[in-house]
Amino acid sequence: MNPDLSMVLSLRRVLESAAEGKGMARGLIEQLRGTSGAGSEAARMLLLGYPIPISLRLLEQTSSQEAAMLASLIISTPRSSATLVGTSGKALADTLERWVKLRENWKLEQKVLRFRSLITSAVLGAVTAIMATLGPVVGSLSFGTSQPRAGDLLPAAAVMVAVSSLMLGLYMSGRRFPVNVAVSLVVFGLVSAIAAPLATLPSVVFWGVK
Amino acid sequence: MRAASYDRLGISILRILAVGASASLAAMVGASLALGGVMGEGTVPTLLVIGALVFYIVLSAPRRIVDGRRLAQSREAVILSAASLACLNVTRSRARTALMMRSRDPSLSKALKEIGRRVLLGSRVESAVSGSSSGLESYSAATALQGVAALTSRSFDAGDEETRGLSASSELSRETKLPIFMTACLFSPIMLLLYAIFSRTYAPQSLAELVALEFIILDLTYYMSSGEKEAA
Repeated sequence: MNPDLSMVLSLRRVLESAAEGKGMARGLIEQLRGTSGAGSEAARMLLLGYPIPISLRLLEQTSSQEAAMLASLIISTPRSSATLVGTSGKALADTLERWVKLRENWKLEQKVLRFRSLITSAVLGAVTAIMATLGPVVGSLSFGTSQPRAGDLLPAAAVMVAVSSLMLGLYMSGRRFPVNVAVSLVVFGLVSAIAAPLATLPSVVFWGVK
Repeated sequence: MRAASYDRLGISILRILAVGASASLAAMVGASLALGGVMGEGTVPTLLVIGALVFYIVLSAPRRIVDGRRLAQSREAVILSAASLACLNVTRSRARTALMMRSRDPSLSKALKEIGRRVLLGSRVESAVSGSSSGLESYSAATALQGVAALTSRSFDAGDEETRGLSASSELSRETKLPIFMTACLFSPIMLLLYAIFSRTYAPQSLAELVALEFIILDLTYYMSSGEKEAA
């Protein structure tokens, strides 16, 4: 299960037990003892005798936004009543659980977007490589002018592809943008290597053909 | 909406216009230095477009800030409602509840501190809350605070609804902007390469200027498209 959702469900059970009149600290220890990370640390600190606000501080700072919100509600218990916090927190936990699930869906959509951005980067690399390799040959089909070498555009085209895929990766993949840059440059290199022989074919003198 | 966001942040329209104009002028000068003469007759229109886009980005920055704050506050309003409800039921005192409320959102925390300060100075809770809640961007956060003053039990559905509404709106906006950004990323190098081929621009310096133009185009498109990225 998603660790954020698992933590929200654990804290929800804590609030439910508090609403039934059981102690907040007892519920926290029961629910968080088997978890990992900040949850088990909070349970350990509670068992050592630290008060709830200090024990849950790490959980509030390091866990997801929704779990941190529930933790901050539990931390507010000493200022009010555990039973009342538990009662109002149960309904709140439903809302936060829904938010976690929505974020989970959003993460799945992000995965699709990342894949889409990789495909776009690859297509960009391929199209740009073809253009940079064959474009000068096609563009210089006027007789009498000096033909540029096919490789003249390649370095600039590679930089353009890198910049484009960098921006695309930053927008759609976040921190994984180097993957986009790598994919586009690899495809660019492969396609330009495949297309290079076509650009070096000897030119045909058309007026000599019968 | 934009004028309202300037009011919220306490920025005068004249000042933001001056900042926008100077930023756009600086961007035009910088771009003209970076581009050199590679665009030929198209240099002036290109610079004008760059200046206009920078002007728009500067003018729309307050709206983006306010939108971001509104979403953060509406999310925090949910927890604020639940905590204040529990606290109010225990203490039955609006003043004590107002003093006990805490928030992790900076602007909401500032408003709560201001309410607490006024209450301690002897103001009525209603006037302290109404004075501070009017400065909040999220209506559900303002409603949560006003609920404390009115001593009424309320649910936190308002915060949930506002959060969902803002998320849906940002998602729609993103769906619109994503294809635009992808198109810009895909076609700008292709178009600039075509320009280089047909205008026979093969000198390294000119090609470097075209790369600079591509970077400017994509950078501006990125800033214009990424307004709602954080909202999700």
